[in-house]
Amino acid sequence: MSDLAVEPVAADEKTARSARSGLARLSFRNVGAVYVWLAIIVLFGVLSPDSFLTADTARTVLNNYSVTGLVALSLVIPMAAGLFDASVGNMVGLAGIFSAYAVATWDLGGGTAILLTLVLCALCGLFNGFVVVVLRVHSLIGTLATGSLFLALTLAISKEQSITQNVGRLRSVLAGHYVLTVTIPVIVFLALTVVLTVVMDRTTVGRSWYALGFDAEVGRLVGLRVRSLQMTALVIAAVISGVAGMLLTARIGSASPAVGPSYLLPAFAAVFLGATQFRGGRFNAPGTAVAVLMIGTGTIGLSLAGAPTWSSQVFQGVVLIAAIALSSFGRRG
Amino acid sequence: MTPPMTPPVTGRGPVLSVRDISKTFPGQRALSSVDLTVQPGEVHALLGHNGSGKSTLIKVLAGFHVPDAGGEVLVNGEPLELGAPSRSHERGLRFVHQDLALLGPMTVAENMAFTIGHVRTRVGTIDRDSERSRTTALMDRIGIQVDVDAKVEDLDPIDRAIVGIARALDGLDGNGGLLVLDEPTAALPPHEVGRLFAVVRDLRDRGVSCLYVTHRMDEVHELTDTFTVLRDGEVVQSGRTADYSGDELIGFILGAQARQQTRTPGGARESTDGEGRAGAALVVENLRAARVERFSLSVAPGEVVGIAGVMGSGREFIGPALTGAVSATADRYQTSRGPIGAISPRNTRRHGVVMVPGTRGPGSMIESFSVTENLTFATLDRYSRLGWLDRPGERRAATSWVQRFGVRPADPDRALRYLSGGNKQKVLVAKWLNTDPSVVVMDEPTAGVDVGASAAIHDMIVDVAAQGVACIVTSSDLDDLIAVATRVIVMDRGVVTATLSGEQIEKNSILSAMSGATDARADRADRADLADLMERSRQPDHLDLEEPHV
Repeated sequence: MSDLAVEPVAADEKTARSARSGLARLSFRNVGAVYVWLAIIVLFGVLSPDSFLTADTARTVLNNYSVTGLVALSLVIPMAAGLFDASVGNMVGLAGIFSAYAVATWDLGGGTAILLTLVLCALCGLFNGFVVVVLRVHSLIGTLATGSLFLALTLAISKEQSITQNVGRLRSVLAGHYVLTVTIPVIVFLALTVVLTVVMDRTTVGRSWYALGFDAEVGRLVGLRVRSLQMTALVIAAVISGVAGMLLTARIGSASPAVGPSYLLPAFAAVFLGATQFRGGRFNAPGTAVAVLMIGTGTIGLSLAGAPTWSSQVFQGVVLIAAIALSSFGRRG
Repeated sequence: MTPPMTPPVTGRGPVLSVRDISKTFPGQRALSSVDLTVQPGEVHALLGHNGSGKSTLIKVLAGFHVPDAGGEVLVNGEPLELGAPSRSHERGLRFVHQDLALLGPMTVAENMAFTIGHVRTRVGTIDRDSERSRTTALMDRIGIQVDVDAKVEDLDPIDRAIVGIARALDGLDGNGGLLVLDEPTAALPPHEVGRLFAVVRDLRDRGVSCLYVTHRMDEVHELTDTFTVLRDGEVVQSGRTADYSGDELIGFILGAQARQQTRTPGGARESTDGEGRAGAALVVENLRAARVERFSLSVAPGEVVGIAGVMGSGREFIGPALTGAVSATADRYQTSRGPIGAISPRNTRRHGVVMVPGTRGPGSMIESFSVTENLTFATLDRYSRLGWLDRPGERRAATSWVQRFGVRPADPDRALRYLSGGNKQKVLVAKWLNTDPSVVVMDEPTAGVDVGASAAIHDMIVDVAAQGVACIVTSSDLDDLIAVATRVIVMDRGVVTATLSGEQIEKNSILSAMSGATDARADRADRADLADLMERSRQPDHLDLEEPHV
């Protein structure tokens, strides 16, 4: 092997590299969303200094966008593993309605209803896995279809009515108290961001999911259980978005059957924008969280500045396009 | 639709004259002051290893690369505007790349229309009948009949290549013009190469010159009139093909020292036919897979078994079959760790049987992963506890492999996509050696790497074997086998036809064993009924691996 041994890396090459990577970490390409976020804060700070630059605004952004944030985070693992899950929006709606139905119609306690809902979410995730992994339907099409079934189930259970009866039982478990002036959904959102960051960066299963997303064949040839990994990714996505649905019901104090689909677009916008941040093209939790907060700050800022309500839809659409354009640039470069 | 174009023929000068062309990429000189001349009605071979600058030169001619200032390219005696693909096209330079860029599910006529323009009816819709007759006319010009309504994916590889050529020739009327063929036979089965040659000769006779890029030495004398050899971006030799022997040409391509490469079969490297030995690293009986029939093999620790065979012999399917990359069964499959259950990647990996694939494309490596992440990916269990990654440990291991193999740049955190082909190959080999295998199957271990690196890879294989690993090397490059093998198995149509060892492991013996196999195949083919032939021609030419999902 001696022929292959070569001179060690020159010391100056090493220093140059570390200086380069230090700068690269702060480059617009790597953390662009953070700069855009700061720019948004400055912009609305100038436009409406009295109402925008307050602790209340910060709290409102966190409280209102933690559910969106959870739905976005639920997409991190399947997207990393190369699978779309377009059913998460309707999963939010189904979990929200089902948990409310369980306390209202079956008169269950809060904790029991939550556990039962989690089981339902896991089953829905398994069903996604069956369609995508076993039947080999393309994940985007397959989960659009299963999402449609979840929506149908939601409408059937609720008889297309909102449910409010006994929902306070869910609220007392999930949203009743404040921790450090923020609600429980905020805590769950921030905690999940940390957990997913650690899982994706520091565990073998996280590394394996990324590998499947980039090239599933490489994973198969080193002996990974490709199907179980894909299945698990979809189950986790369904459970996380189900938790988001229950938190939403608990926070509002009522469950509406029509609420789910509106979470899908911002969640995808955030997870795609997040992929352009911090990890050089990989879907990741901290990038997604920052993207959600950026979208939230922009939307709340717009409403405080007196912009019409439809302006927030414009903002989300623009962010989604910008995110995907940015991420395809990242992949090319 | 592009109007028919007749390139001006001025005088009887060369059709193509490249003068003092250099091309520098950041940190790398790809071409240095290259001269090359192609006379009218001549087939000119452009030879050289991968990385010698052939592709760069072709891309300069095609207008995709702007060369460094100073040189010039003359077409029919007049300067060509460099860096403008449309100018190159107008002046009669036509290119058929290795990847033909045909759309499989669409018909021949539709494929033609995509590149050379649609024919419109008066109301602006596509005039299918005119497109079909135009395509037929184009095919007639090169004297080949192909069903213009056939889907391209249903055509034989040779017909696909011919469609590619016909398409490139559109608008090239009358005399003049230069067709650049980039390794057109790489994807062709041997018995169809002749048809391609006939087309090229026919075009030459009608005044279309040809710049012919190939790796196959037998084709150079059969087809070409003149040649140019590039090495490390420089022209090392050019001349009339007939004036040089094949060995001399190989010498030019490889460089002087490489030809003197000799086998060093020390006492430890004597053939140790592992048959029946209790300590065999791997015993396989009647291995069956797509393109592999009843293949049996026994390898002892420390032995290097070479597997030779022409394209289509099944040679390249041995590795995937042995490691479960393609579905395979065997009557007996036993390693030092006992018999294996099903032949799956997971099981073979656990038994220490690994494959270093011959391509660095999809399925082998993850371009977006860092060098470290690629290197440790086959053995993550070793760099983790309870699923928790030991990232400093991974990085240490990667750093030591990077040093050991001289990977450049020597940065284990660099994404793999930023590495050159040769360096990717080193990482790929390191990835699998890092699993501490007991049996390594390497397919085409030196494909696409330069001469220096192939010598290093040969040394590495010998070195790995010396540590007690059983090595199986499947290669179309006989030099690989001669340099490292203690035993050479010759395959044809999925079965073993000869086994050579000791003094027999030299070029002529292997070649005659291979050609004997090919003759036998020709005899069999004569007898084979039509149905069998048709069935064979339908088999895809790539590994039938499971499609990566999504």
